[in-house]
Amino acid sequence: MSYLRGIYLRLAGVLTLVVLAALAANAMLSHRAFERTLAPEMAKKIASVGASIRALVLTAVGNDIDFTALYGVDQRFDEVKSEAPEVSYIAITDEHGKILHQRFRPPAGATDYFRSPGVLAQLSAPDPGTASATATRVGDQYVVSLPIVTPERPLGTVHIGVDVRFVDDIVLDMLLDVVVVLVVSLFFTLELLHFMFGARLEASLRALVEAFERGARGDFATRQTNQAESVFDSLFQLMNGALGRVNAAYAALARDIENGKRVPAHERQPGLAHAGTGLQQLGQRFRFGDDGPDAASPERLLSKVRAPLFVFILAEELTRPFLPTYVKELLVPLPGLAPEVVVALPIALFMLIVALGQPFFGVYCGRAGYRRTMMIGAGIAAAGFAATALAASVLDLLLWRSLCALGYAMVFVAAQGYVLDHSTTAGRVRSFALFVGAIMAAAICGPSIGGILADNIGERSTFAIAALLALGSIAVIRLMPESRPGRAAAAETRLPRLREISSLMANPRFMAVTGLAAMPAKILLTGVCFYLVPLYMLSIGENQAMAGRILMAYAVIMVLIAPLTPPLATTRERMHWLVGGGLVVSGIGGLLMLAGGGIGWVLAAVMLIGLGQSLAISAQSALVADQCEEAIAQLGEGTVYGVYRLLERIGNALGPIIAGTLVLHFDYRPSFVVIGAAVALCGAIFMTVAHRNSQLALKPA
Amino acid sequence: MESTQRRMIIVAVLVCGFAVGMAGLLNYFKYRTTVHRIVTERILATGRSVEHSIQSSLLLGLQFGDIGTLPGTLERERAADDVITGIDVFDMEGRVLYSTDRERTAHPAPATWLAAGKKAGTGAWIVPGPVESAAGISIENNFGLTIGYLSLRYSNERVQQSAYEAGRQIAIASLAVFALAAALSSFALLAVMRRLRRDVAAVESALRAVDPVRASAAAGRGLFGPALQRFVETIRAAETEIAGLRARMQRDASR
Repeated sequence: MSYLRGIYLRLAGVLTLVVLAALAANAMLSHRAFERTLAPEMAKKIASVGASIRALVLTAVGNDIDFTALYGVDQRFDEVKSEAPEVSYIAITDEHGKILHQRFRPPAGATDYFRSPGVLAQLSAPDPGTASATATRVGDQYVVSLPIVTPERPLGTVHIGVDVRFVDDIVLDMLLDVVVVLVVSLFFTLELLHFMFGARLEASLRALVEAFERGARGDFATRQTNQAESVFDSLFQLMNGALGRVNAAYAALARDIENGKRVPAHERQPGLAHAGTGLQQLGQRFRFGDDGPDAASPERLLSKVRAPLFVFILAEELTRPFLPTYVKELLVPLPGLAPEVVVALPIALFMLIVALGQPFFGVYCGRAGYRRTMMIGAGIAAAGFAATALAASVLDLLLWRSLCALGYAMVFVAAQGYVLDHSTTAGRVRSFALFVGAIMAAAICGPSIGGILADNIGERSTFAIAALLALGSIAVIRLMPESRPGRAAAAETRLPRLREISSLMANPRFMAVTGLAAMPAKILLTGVCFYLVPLYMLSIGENQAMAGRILMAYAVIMVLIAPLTPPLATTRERMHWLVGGGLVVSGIGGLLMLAGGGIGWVLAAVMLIGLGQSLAISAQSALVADQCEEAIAQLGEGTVYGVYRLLERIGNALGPIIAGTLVLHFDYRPSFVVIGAAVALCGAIFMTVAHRNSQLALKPA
Repeated sequence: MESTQRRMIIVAVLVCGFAVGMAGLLNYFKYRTTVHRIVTERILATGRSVEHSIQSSLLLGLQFGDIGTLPGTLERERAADDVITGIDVFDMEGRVLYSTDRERTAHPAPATWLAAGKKAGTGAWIVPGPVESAAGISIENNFGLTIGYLSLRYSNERVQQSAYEAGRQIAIASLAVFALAAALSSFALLAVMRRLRRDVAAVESALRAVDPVRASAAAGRGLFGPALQRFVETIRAAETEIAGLRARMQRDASR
């Protein structure tokens, strides 16, 4: 389907270019609007600042200090600069416009401006003390001039300049957010293209290729395609026309031969027998007729899950950068629990419910069907988001977040089951790439946009938007076909028994992958990315939008690197290196906070965590099958993987609690370092254990 | 293909709407935050001027609750800035000692102001309100101890008016950019789709072609290449065979 990918890339590229141009145009127009409306407001502020200087000068002159011999003026100017950093020049001139005091960078043409009749005329205005502040452009500064006049005589003027580029700084300040909007737009474009067009086009192209290949093999049987599902109506008609023509010719010949056989033997055409034999041979070599309606192949239905999953996961991902901060705002004292741990509770509870609920919802999904389970899950989550937006304290928030977790688990399980059920064994990797792709696209778009929204419209309103998104996903879920899990999916979702869990937990090979690799990786992810990063960013004076951008970087790294690693995991040794090395790399991410606590270091830490997780994620899953052959033979693949996933998700739940406990005792930066060091150590131990196991396996019995 | 074109236009409109809408929203909120910051800083600059005046009086040995010139100073400063609706000075217990509105001295300062002041320490504080908000600073005595607070009430209407005006301008600009971007991207997407249409047309011409050689040649080029070529050739071969059998049957009959 490289042809389709080519079309996709061109469409997305063109749209991104137009969006880029639109954002640039929007920034330019906004700059103008800002300049027009902010310059007068800035002038008024500067006039207030100037008025305080004027008041001090008047007090000094009132105390019989000569206006031309004022002292300490430069210090006062410095104080003004510290109170209003946008001030780029301050001067006091006498009644003739001669500069008596000045500080900072004078604008070009300042001397002439101060002596201009317009400025000097202000000194003789009827009530110069209350003259309205107007900013005049002098060189590259807006200058506000305030006359200093005693009841007896005019003394001079105080001039304050502000660099005209102060608007540039405001617009530039938004640049990062605009870049985020651009990146999110690109992913939004890809998802929309896929939803509106790509899935149909891909299905249509595949159907056409299949039909052509069937025809090339000599299978001329026509199949009615669903017109609504096809992009190439006319092409299908023509192809069916060509097939119909050959079928009709064959049918006509068969009819004529049959008719010919009905006449008495002596009247029969001499070539009839030969034609009959030829027809028979033709029927053996080619296949003619009509197969009836073309049933949609399961894989064709697969893509229908992507859009609902993307929209739903987006709702949850929106809340990532500000959830801990929101919990902090709703804190109430809980006996025996430190606030740092209470902040972690809603995240941990969410993860725990998702971990424990998945097997149960798998069973429920078997009864209710995928679409129904997803719709109910999205509805519950929407109610949870709406209630979270209205939460009064952390106590009711725990309940509302539990609803969100229930909904999330239901949608996740149903979508995963749907993918499993609608993919062939050969195409399972591709099918899961579609599933993971939707989640990762949401992980890129959600935190960044969520952070921006929380900063601007508030956390509660952003939760309300998440509720709307979850509700909106129901509309898209309705477009999915109604189907119930097949045997494959049902086997995957069976509840693991306690005996099986304990047997696997006592298995050193299983625990090497799960306890030393999968769980630490998840503890690092939720502890650092979901708990520490949002809270730490706020603690160093950054906003939630910045936390969102940093979390977006994690997802971008995952999207870029994760697809590159499966081809590397070709041997057991390589898998060990990828898993162990990945853990060490992501652990170094946490350790990086030893070097510095600025945004750059946090970004680097999160990117290293993303890189490490990308290296490990696919090899880790494959290693379970590789390391636990005996356990799989004994308990079945579904059970082994079920317990593996359960423990991995319990790692998700433990992450925030561990991070919260560490913050309670050591503060934020040491918590990054401790978690990072522990995970790096796990990676090193894993590699040692894996190497030892490999050596043992190689030794002759 | 018509429905695909419609869908392309919907994609273009939605993506441009999202991007320009988000950018417009960001611009609006940035403006609102900036104008609010400028107004607050301007008010606080006035507040610092009053605070300097109070400090001067305290330096002269006057009691904090007994500065005779302060009401006049407060009135003058309030009149100097049309956004300021009133200035109050209150002590650590919340007792209003001076105010530009005489009747306010009969009531304590709102508890939210006192709480915000205590929380901010020596820094500035803001308490937003539905109609008017308050920005304040602490007043310290000669020993650096906080003895009270100065609060400047200001009308939200001015800030809202300014934000509304900027919002209107940003909305108009965003709408224009959106319309242009949506139209441009729709045309661009349709242009990209033209290649697909061209390839589909080549396949159609191959399927329509009467001459087998031309059909096969046309099929070999473009979208489905060898698969379509084999399809066309197999069909032609089958048709030729059927026609051959029919011809043979009829030829033998005519002998």
